[in-house]
Amino acid sequence: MQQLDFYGGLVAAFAAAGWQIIFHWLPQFIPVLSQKENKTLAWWLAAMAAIRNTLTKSQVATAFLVGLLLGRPLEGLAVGAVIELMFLGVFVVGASIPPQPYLATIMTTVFVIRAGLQTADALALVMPVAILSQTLMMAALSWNHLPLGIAKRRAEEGDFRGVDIQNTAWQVTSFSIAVNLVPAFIGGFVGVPAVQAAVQWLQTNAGWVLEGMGFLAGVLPALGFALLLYQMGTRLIGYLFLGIVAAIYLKPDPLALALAGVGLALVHMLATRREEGAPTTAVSEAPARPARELKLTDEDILAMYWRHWNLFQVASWEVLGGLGFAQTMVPVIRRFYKTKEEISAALKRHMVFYNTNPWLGAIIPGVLASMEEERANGQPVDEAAIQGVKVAMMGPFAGVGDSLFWATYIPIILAITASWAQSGNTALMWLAPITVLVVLGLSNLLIPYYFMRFGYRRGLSALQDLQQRNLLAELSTAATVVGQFVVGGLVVKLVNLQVRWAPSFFGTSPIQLQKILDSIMPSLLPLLIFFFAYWLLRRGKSAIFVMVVLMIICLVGAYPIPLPLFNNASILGKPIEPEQAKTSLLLLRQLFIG
Amino acid sequence: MAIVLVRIDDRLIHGQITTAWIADVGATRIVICSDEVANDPLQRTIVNITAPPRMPTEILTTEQTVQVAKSGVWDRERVFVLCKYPSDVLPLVRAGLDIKEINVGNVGGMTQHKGGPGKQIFKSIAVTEEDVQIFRELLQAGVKLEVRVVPRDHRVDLATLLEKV
Repeated sequence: MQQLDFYGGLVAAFAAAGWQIIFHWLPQFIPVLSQKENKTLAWWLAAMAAIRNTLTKSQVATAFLVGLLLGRPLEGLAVGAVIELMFLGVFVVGASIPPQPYLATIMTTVFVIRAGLQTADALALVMPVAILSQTLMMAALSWNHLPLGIAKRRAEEGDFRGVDIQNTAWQVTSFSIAVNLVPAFIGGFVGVPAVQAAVQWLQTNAGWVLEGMGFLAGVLPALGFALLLYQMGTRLIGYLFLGIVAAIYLKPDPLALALAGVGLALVHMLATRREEGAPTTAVSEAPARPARELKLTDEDILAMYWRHWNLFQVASWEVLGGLGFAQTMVPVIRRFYKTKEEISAALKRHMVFYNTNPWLGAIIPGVLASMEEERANGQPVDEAAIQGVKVAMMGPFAGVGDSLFWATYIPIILAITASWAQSGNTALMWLAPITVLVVLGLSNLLIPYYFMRFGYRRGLSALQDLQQRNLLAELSTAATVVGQFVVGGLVVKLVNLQVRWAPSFFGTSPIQLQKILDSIMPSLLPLLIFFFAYWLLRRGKSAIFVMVVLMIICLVGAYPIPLPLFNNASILGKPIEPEQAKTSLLLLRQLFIG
Repeated sequence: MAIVLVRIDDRLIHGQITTAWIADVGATRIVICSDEVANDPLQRTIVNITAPPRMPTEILTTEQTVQVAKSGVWDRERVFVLCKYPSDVLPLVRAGLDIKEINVGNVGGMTQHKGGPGKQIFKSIAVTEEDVQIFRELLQAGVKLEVRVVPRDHRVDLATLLEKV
């Protein structure tokens, strides 16, 4: 047994949640305790939340940062890319929580770099850690009933500051520390020597297992892409086949593939536009609002915006994002309500069940802020109307937001950058995490902000605007076309499986099976594996089941088969030398002729 | 084929529907069957804005759903019927539509908004007295009630959850 790895544990803990505590969590207490807002600080908090969200979504960026902390960023990238492609189609939808790759990425990167392993050696650990994360997250949703109970009592007292403090205070203690920081530290501290010992044992006793894991790293992207296809549905599957053919015969770079996808989407939109469809006229200006005495300021909107990032940080089974939503509305309540009864009623009505897609759904607190403003100015808007709008919007807007942003837009960015991370070209490898942080980070920062402002400025008219422009349906269709095309192309580029076995019969030259497969069609095996994974998912099998099946295929393919024709070679492994072929022929003769 | 799935989900067409259920049952048409939604202009507008592109989506009252289902126009379609509340399913079963199994998704999240949450019997299900009555009647009518949030979850039998109430 080697030394316990204190430094590895420390780095893992810092990457998992330590930085958030310093840069994101502690500064939140300034506005929350003083109840005074500052624009610069609000943008800072939103930016930190955007980075947090980008890291939890992008394994390439996370693994790169861990690698950077350990002084070997490119090795981190290699780990991140493999895990990224495994989990491409995996994200939280509503209260359904899948295995979470974030902690697994951090742990695996630390193991690979600190214990000196190959990426593939640590692959077997990814899924168990992801399932551990999932379990801890679910447990967090249970124990968050405690802060919810406290916050409910604060709401009863009409204490908006208390509600504000609760949601900010508990997000790190209940979630980041318990779910990410502690397991990461223990994992790094104890795990590194344990993993090292296990891999050494395998190397000496069962090298084929490690070899099989190496093959698995090349096959797993098929699972990620199959999950994505499953979520996008097969309505536009023609574009998937176009992407496959384009990638096989044109060999484009991933970015070119995405651009071609965008071009196809534009053509598709033009070709399918109904003549009497979306009106081409600009939407008329909103009717002039009656002058309002009481108005929200820009600071108030920003104050709502940074709080909106805490929506699901203290989620509980009972109300999911309800507590976070109440915190989001604190600046509005603070501005418009003065008596204890009013404040208490407002806090309570915003603390009930809430769940939506946090990007597109940011429009909802915007619209509600506008309605609360009308109400404060004595217009006939009652509580029931405000509740009704919120309840009616949150489910359906999650439907569009999840399929458009979670299942299409973000995975496309992740898949392209993961392929850069695997390209072996140093410049592209550095570009991968930087691109993720810039593109996904800015999307995180600006898209929800845009929707929140749009919702506030237009109020309920925002719905008419969206209906007239047919905007969401157009965006969803376009994104799906790009998604299908890019998935088709990247399956060909990134899924890697070759048969290296070359049997030789009676002393003839060995038959290169892979050459025969290539002459039928290049990339035939990767495509078969991809469609096989998709077929299993459609049969209702879980992602974990599919992963185990792929693992078994790779391990069987790597197993040295003790038969003459194989001569201790395996199906996927090293080809047989002609010399060995002769030996196997002699063996055969002895077997049959004696 | 007609109706391929009946699901109770008070969040209507949300993420679990668009990224999992539609593909899983191979639906060609979505019918939102709920008296409340059908009679509320705001909810109708929102469903129209957010309905999945190129997927025919209708909002019908329970009475209209029964009529259309019996008229046979859905026979060549794969219809996914989405009810908002347990009370939206009961008229369909009472009218004798061919419903053998009902998928129970998200129930009770919205009753909080109507004053008073129900009793939580599963992570995504909270029921009121009235809901329990309805579920019991459905079970007596020989309908299977299965709880599955997304298609790849384990099936949980609602009858066993109700026994604890």
